[in-house]
Amino acid sequence: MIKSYLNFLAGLASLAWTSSIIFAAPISNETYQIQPGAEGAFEIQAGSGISTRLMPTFTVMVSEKDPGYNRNNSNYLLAPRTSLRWSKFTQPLVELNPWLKEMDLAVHVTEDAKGERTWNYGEGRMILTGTYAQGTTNPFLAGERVDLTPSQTVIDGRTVHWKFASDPRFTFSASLTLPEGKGDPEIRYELNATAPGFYSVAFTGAPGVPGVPEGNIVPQMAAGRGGKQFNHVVAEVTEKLPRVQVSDGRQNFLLVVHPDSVPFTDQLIDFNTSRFGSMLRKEKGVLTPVIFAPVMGAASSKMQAGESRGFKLLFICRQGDAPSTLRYVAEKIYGVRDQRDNSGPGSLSAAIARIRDYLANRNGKNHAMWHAEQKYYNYWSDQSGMFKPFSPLYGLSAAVVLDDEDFYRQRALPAVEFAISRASNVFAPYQLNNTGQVKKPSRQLGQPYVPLPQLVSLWEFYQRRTDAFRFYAEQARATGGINDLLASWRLKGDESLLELAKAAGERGLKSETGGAYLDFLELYEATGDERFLGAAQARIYAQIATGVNLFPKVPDKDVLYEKGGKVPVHAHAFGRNNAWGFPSPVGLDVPEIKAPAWRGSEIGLESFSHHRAELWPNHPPQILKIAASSEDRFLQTVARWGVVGRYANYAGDNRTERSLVAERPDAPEHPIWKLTYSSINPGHALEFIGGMMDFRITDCFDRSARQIAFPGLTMAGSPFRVHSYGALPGRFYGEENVRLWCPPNLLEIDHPEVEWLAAWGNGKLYLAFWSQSFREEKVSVQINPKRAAIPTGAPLLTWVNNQPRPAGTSSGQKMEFKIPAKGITAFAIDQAEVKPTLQAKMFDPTAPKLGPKSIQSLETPFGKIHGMLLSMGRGLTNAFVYAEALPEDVIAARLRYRQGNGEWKSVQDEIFPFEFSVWLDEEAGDFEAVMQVETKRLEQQESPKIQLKQ
Amino acid sequence: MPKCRNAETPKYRLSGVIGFFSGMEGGADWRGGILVSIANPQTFSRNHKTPSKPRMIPSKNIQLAAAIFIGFASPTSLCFSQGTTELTISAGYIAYIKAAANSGKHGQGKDGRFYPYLTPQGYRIGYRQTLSDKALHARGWSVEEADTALLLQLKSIESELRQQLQQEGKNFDEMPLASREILLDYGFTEGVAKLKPEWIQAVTQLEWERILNPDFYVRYDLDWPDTARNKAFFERWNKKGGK
Repeated sequence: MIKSYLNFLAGLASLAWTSSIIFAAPISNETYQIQPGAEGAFEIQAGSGISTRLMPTFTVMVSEKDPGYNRNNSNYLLAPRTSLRWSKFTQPLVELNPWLKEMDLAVHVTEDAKGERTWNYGEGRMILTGTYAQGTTNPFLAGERVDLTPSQTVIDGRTVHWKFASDPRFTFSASLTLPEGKGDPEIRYELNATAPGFYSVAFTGAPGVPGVPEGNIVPQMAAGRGGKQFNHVVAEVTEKLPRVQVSDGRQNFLLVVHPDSVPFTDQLIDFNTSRFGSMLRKEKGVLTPVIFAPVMGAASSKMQAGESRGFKLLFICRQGDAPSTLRYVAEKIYGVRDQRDNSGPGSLSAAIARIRDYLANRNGKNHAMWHAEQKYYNYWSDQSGMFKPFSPLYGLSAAVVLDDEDFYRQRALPAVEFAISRASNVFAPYQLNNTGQVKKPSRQLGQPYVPLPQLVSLWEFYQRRTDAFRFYAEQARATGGINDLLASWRLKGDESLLELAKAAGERGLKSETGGAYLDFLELYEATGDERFLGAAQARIYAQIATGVNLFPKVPDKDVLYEKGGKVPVHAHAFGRNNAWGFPSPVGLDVPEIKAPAWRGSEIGLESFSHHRAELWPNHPPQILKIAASSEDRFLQTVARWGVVGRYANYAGDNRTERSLVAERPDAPEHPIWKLTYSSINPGHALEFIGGMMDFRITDCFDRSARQIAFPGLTMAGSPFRVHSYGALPGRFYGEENVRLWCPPNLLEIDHPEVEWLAAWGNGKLYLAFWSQSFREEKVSVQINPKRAAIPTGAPLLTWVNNQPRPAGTSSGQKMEFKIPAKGITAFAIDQAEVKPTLQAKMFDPTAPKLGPKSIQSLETPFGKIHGMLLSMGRGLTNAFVYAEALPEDVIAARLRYRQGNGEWKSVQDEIFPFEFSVWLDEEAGDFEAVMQVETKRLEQQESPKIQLKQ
Repeated sequence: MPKCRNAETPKYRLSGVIGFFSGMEGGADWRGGILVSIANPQTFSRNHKTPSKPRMIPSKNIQLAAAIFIGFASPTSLCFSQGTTELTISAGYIAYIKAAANSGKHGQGKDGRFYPYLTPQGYRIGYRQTLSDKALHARGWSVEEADTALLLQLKSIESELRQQLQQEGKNFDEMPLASREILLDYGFTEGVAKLKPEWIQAVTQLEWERILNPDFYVRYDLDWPDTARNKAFFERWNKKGGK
C-alpha cells in the first residue's frame, strides 16, 4: 500500500507542474531530505536537524551603463574598505537615511544643490565628502532590479527545474539537485543575455536567521567589522573561503560557491576578474546569506547579446560550531589537505641561511639597503631615508639561533640600540622628498619605542645581565593586559602578577572571539591552563576565516609557471616603477617551469585588500603551535600550506600574480628595478627570517609530539609578531637545559626535503631531522668538524618517529639514516665537542653582569644625553652613548672616552642622531666619556662626564 | 634685459637665467664658500663606496668665477658653451638640475634662504651642494647665492668635460645638445673622472635604448637608487629622447 502510494507520488512528481502544485515526493540522500512545498519552496532537513525553508528566488541586476565598479575604501564605517561600491548608482536620500537608521548606523547623509553628498558620522567621527560619498555599497541598487520567482517547476528524478518568465533583456533558468550519498544540494542557474549590458545574479532564497547579538556572528569576510556591518558585497579577490554562513545557534545555513564555478586559474584572481561576491543581507532583523555571480561591474558581468553565464552553488545546512563548519567546507568541499613538500625551493633551513646572507650583505651588493649610520635598513620602497623596524627581536633571535657573532655585531646590536633610543619605530632623520606613504615620522630620541613585553624579552635575551633593559622595562607603561602582566611577572618574578594575567585571560574567555589569539597562546604557555589554549584555538579559527585563503581547489595537474621566461609583474610595480623613475616594469628573466598546481597555490597564504597572496610567514608558526598543542590536524594543514615548500629566500611581501619566483634562491639579489614581481621592502626580510625560524622550530615541536621544545620569547606589540628563540634553554626528548643551535654551516645534508635543528648541552650534540616528503627518504649528513667534532664510537641515542631505538655508537662526522614519510629521526651524540661562537660568549658564566650603575642620563647644554652598557656575553660588551639633540641645533659630535685609567680615545659623528657605540674590554675598568658637540652657531659645548660601571 | 655676448642671434637671450645673476650684480655675499663647494661626486657606480668629499674648483674656474665677481665678465656670458650656437646650460636645463637635486626645496627657510639640510650623505645646501663652510649652518644662502654656486659648478664641470673629451679626440661643443646635457648632468653628480668610456660612448652616440635602461642611467644615493634624480632623468629623456 505504502509502496503504491510512493509510486503514485513519484509519477506525480515526474509531471510538469506549476508552482501552485504542492504535492511531490521528497528527495533524499544520506544527509538531506527535501520536501517540495508551496510556491516552489522546499522544506529541507539535514540529519536530525530542524527543517528549514529554501525559496527558489533570484534577483537579476541589469545595467545598460558601466556601473562604476570600485572598492568602498573611504566609507569604512558603512562597509569594509574592501567591499564593493558602485559609483554610478545611488540611493535617494529619502530611502537612504531610513535604511541607515535601520542598519543602526549613526550617520546622516545630506545633499547639496549640486547633488554632492556628505556623510556625517557625528561629532568627532568621520565626515565623508567627495567621490567616496557618492555611489552605493548596496548591490540591489547597482542597476535595475528584477526579482524572479519560478513560473513553472519540474521535478526530474533528483533534480528540480525552475523556469522563469523571460525578460526583454535576458532569459533565466535554474535548478536544484540533491546528489546521491552525503552530498549537499546543488543550485545551478544560467543567465542568457538577449541585450548587451552588465548583469549580476543573486540567489536570494536561502533561509535566514534572526539577527543575533554582536559576537555571535560567524567570522567571515562578509561580516564586516567583526560582525557589525552587513549588506555589502565582498568580491572573490578578498574572500578566503567562498561561503556565506548564518547560524541560529542550533544550525548553520550556508551558501557555498561550487568549486566547479571557481576553478584554479593560471593567473591569480584580481578585483576585475572576481567571479562572485558574498554578502550577509540584513533586512528587518533577519540575516540571510547571499552570493552574487557575476558581480555587477566585474569583467564577467559585461555581456553581449547571446552570451550566457552559468554558476553553481551549494546550500549547506548542518549543525556544529563555526570551526567545524569551516573545516567541513574547506576539507570536504574544497579538498584542502596537506600537499606540500620541499620539492620546489628545497629546505626552509637553507632559505633561512640565504635570508641571513641577504640581510648581512654577504655578497657585498647591499641589495637589502642596510644603512649603518641609522642602524637599520632603508625603508626605500615606501619612503627613502626612513627607518622602520618592527622589533629588534627578529635580528637578535637570528643571530643567536644561527650562532652568528658578526650578524649580532653588524645587524642585531644596532637594531637593539635603535630600539632603546628612538621614541618611535618610524624614524625619519633626513630631509628627503615625502612620498606620503608613511605616517607620523619621528625624530624624537630619549626612550625606547618597544613596549614592555619586548623590553623584558630583550632583558631575557641578554641573560638578565644587562640592567638597561630592566630599567626601561620598569619605566614602561603597563596597560594591564595579558601581555604586560606576563611581562611584568617575568621581570619581577612576582606570582601575583601571573594570577592577574590569568584573571585578565579569564575575562577574555567570556567573549568567543575577542582578544588576540597569540595573547591566549602565550598565557597557555605560561600557565598550562587548557582553557586558554582553547581560546587561542577558537580565535585562530576566526583569524583563518577572515585572513587565510582556503580556495580555489587545487587541481591534480601540472601548471606552466613563468610563461615566456618572465616572472609575471606585480600589479603595483607599474605605479612604483613610475614613481621611482624606472621604465614600465618587465618580468624578471627566469626559465619557464612546469610544476604541480599546488606549488603556486595561494592556499594557506593571507590576502589583504589588494593582494591575493600575502607572503608574510608570521601566522603559520603560531597556527602550527596551536595545532601541535591541541592536536588539531586541520590547523596543522593550514599552517603547512603557509610555509612548507614556498621559499628559498625573501621574495617580497606579497603577490598579485601566480608565480614560483619565491622558490628561487637569488630572488631578492637583483637591482630593485628588476624586482617587479612583488612589493619588496628589503628590511622586511628580517620579519620573514623571524617567521621562518619560528616555523622551523615549531615544525620540529609538532613533529616530535612536543618532545623537542624550545621556549620562545614574546614579541607582543610588534606587527607580524612571532616568537623569538635562542635566549632560553629547551628540552630534547626529556633532556633538559639544551641550547638551540643552528649555524647554517654545521651540517651538509644531501636531501632537499629534510629540515633540521640542532642543540647542545649536557656534553652532547642533539640533532633532529624531519622530512617534508610524502615517502620515506634516505639521508646522508656531513657534520662540519669546525663546528662539532664527533668521535667515532661515541655513545649515540636515536629516536625514530619519537620512539627510542636501542643505544648505539656514532660513526663520526658522517651520518646516514632514513626518515619515515613526514616523519622525524633524532639523535643525541655524547662526547661531541661542539664549537659555538656567539653562544659560547653569550652563555659564558663569567660574562659581566651589569647593574644599575651601567646606565646613566645627564642634562647637558645641548640637551639630554644617555649612556648605557650592553653585554651579550663575555667579549661582547659595548657602551652606547647618544644625544637627543636634533640636527638643526647640533651639527657634529665627538665622544671622548676611556676605560679605567686607560688612554682617552675619541670618535666623531657628523650625522644625526649623534650616537656612539664602542666595544669595551671587560677587564679594562669602568667606562667614562664626555660628549662634545659643535652647534649650528659653531659653538663648542661639552657634556658632564658620563660614568658607566659594570 | 642684457644679451649674451656670444649670442649670434637674439634667440639666445636668457630671460630665465638672468635672475641668477641679479644677486651678484647687486653685490652678493661671496663668503658663503660657494667657490669651493662644487659638484658632489656621488656613487654613480655601486662599487664607489667612498663618501664623497667637497672638491676644489679647478683653478681655471676659480679664475672665471673671480672674473665674474669683479665684473670683468658679464655673468650672462657663462650661459653659452664655447664655439657652439646651442645652449647647454639653458634656463630649462638648470631648472631640471635643480628639480632633480632638491625639488622639495629642503632647507629653504621661511625667510627664503637656503640652510643646510640632512641627507644620508651628510649635510647639503641649496641644490644638494656640499658645504664648504660650516658657517652656512647659521647664515645660509640666499637663493641668488645658491643659483650662482650651481651655475659656477656646472660651468666648471662643463669645462672639465670639454678638456677630457678633447684628450679623447672628441669635441664636446659639437656634440648634440642631449649628449652635452647628459654628460654635464652626470659629470655634475658623479664626477667627470668617474664617467666610464663606454658610458660616454653611448651618450655621445645617443644610443637611447641603452641610455634609458636603468642599468645605465640609475644613480645611487649611497646604496639605494636616488629616486629624485632617476625620476627627473627618465622623465626628461624618455619623452625627449627615447620616445
